[in-house]
Amino acid sequence: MGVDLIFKIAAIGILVSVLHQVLVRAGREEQAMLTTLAGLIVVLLMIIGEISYLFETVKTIFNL
Amino acid sequence: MEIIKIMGVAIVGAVSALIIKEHKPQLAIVIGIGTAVILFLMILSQVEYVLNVVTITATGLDINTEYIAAIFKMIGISYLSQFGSEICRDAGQNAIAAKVELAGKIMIVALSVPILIELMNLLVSLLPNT
Repeated sequence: MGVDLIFKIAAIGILVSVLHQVLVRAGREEQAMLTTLAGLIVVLLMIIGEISYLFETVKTIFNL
Repeated sequence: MEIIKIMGVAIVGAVSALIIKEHKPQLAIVIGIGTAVILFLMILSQVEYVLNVVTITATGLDINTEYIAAIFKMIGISYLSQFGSEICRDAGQNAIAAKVELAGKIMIVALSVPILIELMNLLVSLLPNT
């Protein structure tokens, strides 16, 4: 948790953009789009866990 | 000092979001959300401390705890709706952000209706000749 989450997402972002460029240069636009999609889904799954933890905590604190 | 840590995380998050932005704008928004979540979780212990102090003093002065609970609910709703609307605004969706804020306001007003009714009853009971 904490700062390393940001670095993980940033790393995935950079990796996905590099892969995208490589695949586009290699003439495989579809695979490039699919890799971007996959990277986005992985990042979103990581964030969903954090957001649900945040909402649970807010619920308990403000007893919503 | 807590504030330096928080500022550090915020700056790192902002810069990394900026780096990713020109390649993959979708991921930049997710970095923004992640940083916002982390920053709130860092400050959480102090929020909890303040809320506990308020509850203790309220029960000490035997104020009705239902009102204090309603106030905390309103604070929670306003924080979450502001969190959601700012993220939508980050993503460039101002219309959705406005709707989220509207929903938050309406829920707060809905929460305050029973208290208003009790206030009205109290006022009416104070009037001499009814």
